[in-house]
Amino acid sequence: MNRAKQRTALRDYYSTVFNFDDLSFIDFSRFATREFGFATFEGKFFRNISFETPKALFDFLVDRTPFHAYIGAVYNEPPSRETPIHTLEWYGHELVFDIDLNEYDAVRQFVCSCQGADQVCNRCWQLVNLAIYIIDETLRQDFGMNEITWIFSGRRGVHGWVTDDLGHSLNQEQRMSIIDYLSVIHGEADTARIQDRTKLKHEFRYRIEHTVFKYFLKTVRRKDLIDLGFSSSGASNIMKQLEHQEGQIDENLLRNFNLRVAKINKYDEILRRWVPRIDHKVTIDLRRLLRLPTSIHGKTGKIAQILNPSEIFSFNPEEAASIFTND
Amino acid sequence: MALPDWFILQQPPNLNIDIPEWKELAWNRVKLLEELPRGRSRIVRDHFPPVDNGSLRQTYYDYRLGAYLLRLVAATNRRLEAWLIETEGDLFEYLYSDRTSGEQKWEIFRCLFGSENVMTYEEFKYKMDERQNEYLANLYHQFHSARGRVSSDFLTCVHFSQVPWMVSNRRGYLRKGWVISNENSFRGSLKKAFEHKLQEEVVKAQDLLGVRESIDQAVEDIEKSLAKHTQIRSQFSSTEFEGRDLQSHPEIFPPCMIYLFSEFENTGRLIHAHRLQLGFFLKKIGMSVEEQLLYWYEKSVDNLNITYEHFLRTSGYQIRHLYGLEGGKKDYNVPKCSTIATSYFCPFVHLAPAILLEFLSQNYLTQKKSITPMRNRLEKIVSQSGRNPTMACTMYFPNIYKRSLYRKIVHPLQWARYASKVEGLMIDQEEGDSSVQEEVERNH
Repeated sequence: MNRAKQRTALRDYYSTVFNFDDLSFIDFSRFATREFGFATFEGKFFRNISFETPKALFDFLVDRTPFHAYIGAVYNEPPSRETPIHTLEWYGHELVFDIDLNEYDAVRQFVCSCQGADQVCNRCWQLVNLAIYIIDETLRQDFGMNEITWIFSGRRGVHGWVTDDLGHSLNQEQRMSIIDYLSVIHGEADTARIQDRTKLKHEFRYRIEHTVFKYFLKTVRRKDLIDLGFSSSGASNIMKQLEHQEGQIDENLLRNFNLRVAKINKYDEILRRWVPRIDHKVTIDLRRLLRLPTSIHGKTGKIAQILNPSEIFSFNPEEAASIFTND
Repeated sequence: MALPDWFILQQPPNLNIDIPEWKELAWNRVKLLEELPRGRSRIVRDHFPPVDNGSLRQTYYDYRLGAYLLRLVAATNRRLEAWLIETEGDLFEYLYSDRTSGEQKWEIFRCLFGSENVMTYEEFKYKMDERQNEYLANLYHQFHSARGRVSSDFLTCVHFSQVPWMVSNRRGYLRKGWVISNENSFRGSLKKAFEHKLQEEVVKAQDLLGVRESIDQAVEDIEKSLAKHTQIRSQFSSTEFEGRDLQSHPEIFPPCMIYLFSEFENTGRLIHAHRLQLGFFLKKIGMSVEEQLLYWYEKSVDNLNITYEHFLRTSGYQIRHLYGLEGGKKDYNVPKCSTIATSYFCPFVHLAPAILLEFLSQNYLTQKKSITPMRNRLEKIVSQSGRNPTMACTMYFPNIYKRSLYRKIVHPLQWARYASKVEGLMIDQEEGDSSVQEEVERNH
């Protein structure tokens, strides 16, 4: 699709489908002092932009049809070219999480055969699903946060928005502590060995192990088990059991699998491949611009749609509709 | 129950006092703080007797008065402020553990974390409806049945936002936003909260300056006399590398440092231990404190929302500490490889084999030539790393610089020294370093 058509498609989307009410989960009580940013079709990027009213933002989107639209933090005064954000006092920003399949590049080979930055399949999307489940559950159970919304980024990941009042005012150190708590891998790169499991205490440890094994079994192939070090008969046994239970993973199966994994000492290896990998910079950067929910990802033409809580785990990014069609 | 009398962050004292007498009290406090590093237990024993029958109330009141004047002095001089916060923090830590009853501890928790952020174990259980929580019950059972439990210790709950270090390190049971643990495990966070609050009080104290001339004069006198605390005692990095600007030559960095260096370049963040490791190294290869302050400020994502001034007041303290300009004024060295392996970051120890292989084959480029080490050699190094990381590091050196080593690499600076000679970055011969020079020459 050429640029002119893309521009038309974007204008049609923003003028007919885009609804500001969909963003009601975000606190817009200080709308005028919130920062927005945009990327143009020409590749230019602008930030330090604010709008007096949601209507003004809406008109801007329709008139200018930006390639990408981003939303940032709230400041004490409206950001502008004359008063850029570094001259303003930071007031608040939702606690956000970015899960992107890029972070999994070192381990994705064990799950599927996708290669390169643009490929994504239902199998590797399970890595994202698993991360969503663990982060969501941990934020609710351990951190007492209740208002969590997950948004498809439009390409290869999701953004988690925690809109509780507390999350809005957390400083960098506090945000970093949440990331550290959620990070089971030692070191920031997708690399290192799994943390000492005795340091993962109580429910969190149980949650991680239980969920990872569940998702592992959900997508496992016989060759994965063999590669991991299972004997041929052991692998067949597990596969038969899975077949017999028609993919349903119950406690018995998990316990059986757990014992077998312990025997070959591959516990950490499975965790290393599957545990959530969060782009921590997005979470701790208080001035970060994040894709505006329900806006369009300029490269794919897909909507950064809000994921319905009951359908999060059945969402398939490959099937997400793009407004850039060749019809 | 009230806060203990020795606790200095209480209501401001009555300032209608004789100024010379007040100065005297401030000097007494200075002496006490100065002696602290030399004899902690003696200070606590002599100045803060264990039995307080009320007769010491006036003495403690005088201590608080003295401490208050010192806060005014600290408000005029940043270096003094840092010194005061560091030493008062230490004293607080000692007195908290040695001279505080259980109920007083509870009051300190409420004062430092805020009463809305602290709950007793029982309160938490009922308010949060956690009576059926088996993990919580287990925790309670473990705590009460632990051998060697101190009778004054108690379970307490603090909101997670107040104790980020404990959350990061998973110290305690985190449930519904509250960290539940025994009082003892909150001590580090309490000390930090105390130091933070003291810093706030120092900022507030600035309002009192310029109001009464006599107070200003007293503050000025003490500030002048305390000048020694504002001097730079460190010799900076008087090392063989000084002035050679080697920090702009990452090609001489050992693998651990190049990993951290590029990690920080890419992500803008390193955990505390890694920051220290890189900071010590950059200092020792000749980066000045000002350069390093700018380096961490510009590169770190943590500083995006703060001004350089603010950075200097907060994180800057740690960097100055590296150079021996704050705290204990010690000129730290780079940790040796064995210490790095256990407490810091060594790629040969901490990276998974596949990732280590990738790192070794891709991330090491010199400015003179692009090195592509043989895959099979690297595989040998990786297999060696599991058994003997320092040997693996030594084996890796010739792959990069095409020079053999006859000594094992046991210190990051050793690598930097050898590499800088191969790269021609050190021209003159250093005293005591002839063996290295000879060794390199022999291989040319």
